[in-house]
Amino acid sequence: MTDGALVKRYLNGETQAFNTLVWRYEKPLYNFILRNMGNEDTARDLCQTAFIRMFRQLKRLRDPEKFAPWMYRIALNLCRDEFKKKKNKKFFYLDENPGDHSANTMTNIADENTPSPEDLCHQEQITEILKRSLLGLPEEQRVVIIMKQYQGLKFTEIADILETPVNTVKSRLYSGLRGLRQILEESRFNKEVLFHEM
Amino acid sequence: MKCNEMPEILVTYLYDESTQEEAKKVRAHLKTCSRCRKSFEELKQTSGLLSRWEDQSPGISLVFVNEPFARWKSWKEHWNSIGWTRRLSLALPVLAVCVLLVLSALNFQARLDNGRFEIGLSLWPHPQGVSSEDLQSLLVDFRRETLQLTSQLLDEREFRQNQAVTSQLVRFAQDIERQRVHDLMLVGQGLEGLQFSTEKRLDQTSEVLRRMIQLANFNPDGR
Ligand SMILES: [Zn+2]
Repeated sequence: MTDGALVKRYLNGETQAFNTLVWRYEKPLYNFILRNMGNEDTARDLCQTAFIRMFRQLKRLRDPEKFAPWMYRIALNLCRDEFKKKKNKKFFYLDENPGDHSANTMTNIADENTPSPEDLCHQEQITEILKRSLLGLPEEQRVVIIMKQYQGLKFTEIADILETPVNTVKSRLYSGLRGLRQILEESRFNKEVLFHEM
Repeated sequence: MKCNEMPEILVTYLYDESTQEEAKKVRAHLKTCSRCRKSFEELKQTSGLLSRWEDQSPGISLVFVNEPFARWKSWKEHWNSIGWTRRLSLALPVLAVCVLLVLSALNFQARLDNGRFEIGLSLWPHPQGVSSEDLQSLLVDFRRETLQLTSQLLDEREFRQNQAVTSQLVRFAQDIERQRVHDLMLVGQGLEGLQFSTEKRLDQTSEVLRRMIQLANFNPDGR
């Protein structure tokens, strides 16, 4: 059954149809938010909030077939709000401890309580390095990379979600991939792991 | 194909969204241009590394059921999602009405004047400076008026009661009169009947007497 059919069923009073949509998109949406935010707890919270928001606002969706783009827009807005909150907190923290931040950008980006990649096994190291590197990119580039690389969306679909021309999406992806490579090459983390992979 | 147009074309090719014709052109260009070839290889490597980050399980299980207060909540969500100007345009009339209501409630005025009852709602406060003497005299007036009105009411009530009693008496008298006429008629009819039957009896009696006299005349030595 298409997303649109499920949306219509839900709007006709079948709550179960919405649960089907949740089961369909729970994992992709969670991973989208996780890769954008870099923290599992935050991703879980935002994912739940996103679905609750969808559940309540679904009747305002004009074209039921456009459920997925609408869902991504809601998730993106939630991520942006969360980033703003974190940014404010971080500034506060830095003001209190002016000399406490390390020179390396990578360690600043990730949360203090996440383990450093050196402590992890091979697969986990790669995940951790990628997580931190992605967070080092501008949001507009990171989002496009995640949508293309992991969500498997078409360029036109990404353009639709972001309400941006397709060519802009493509150039953001190009700059993002190049920027990411640069971050990875400059990182102090186990280069052998990376070059072995690359 | 120009090298400065390549970034967009290369990512399209990398993620397999080029048309067959375009893909052919890209391959041809990459064969001849080492700079673009290097750039493409790096893109491919980075993308390959990214794909090593596998999807994770969300570890949440959301199940939605119908909310009893869904309407109110959705209204609240709507309120939160609309901009300040829309909010203001919605809230201002409501606020204005509330303020008006409160003001008019504060200046609610009820008056009893010569038996006329008046209710006043006004936006502006009434003059407040009333002395206790004024208040006293007002109270006395008010009491007197109340007394007057009460006595008027009583009078009216008495009058109405009297009227009711009179009309009832009149009806009663009329009823009695009608009954009397009827009874008299019955008595008259009865008397007539009696008279008739008495006359009949008298006739019969005189007839019997006449016969007896006749019999006595025919039989002179009957005794
Ligand atoms: Zn070239």
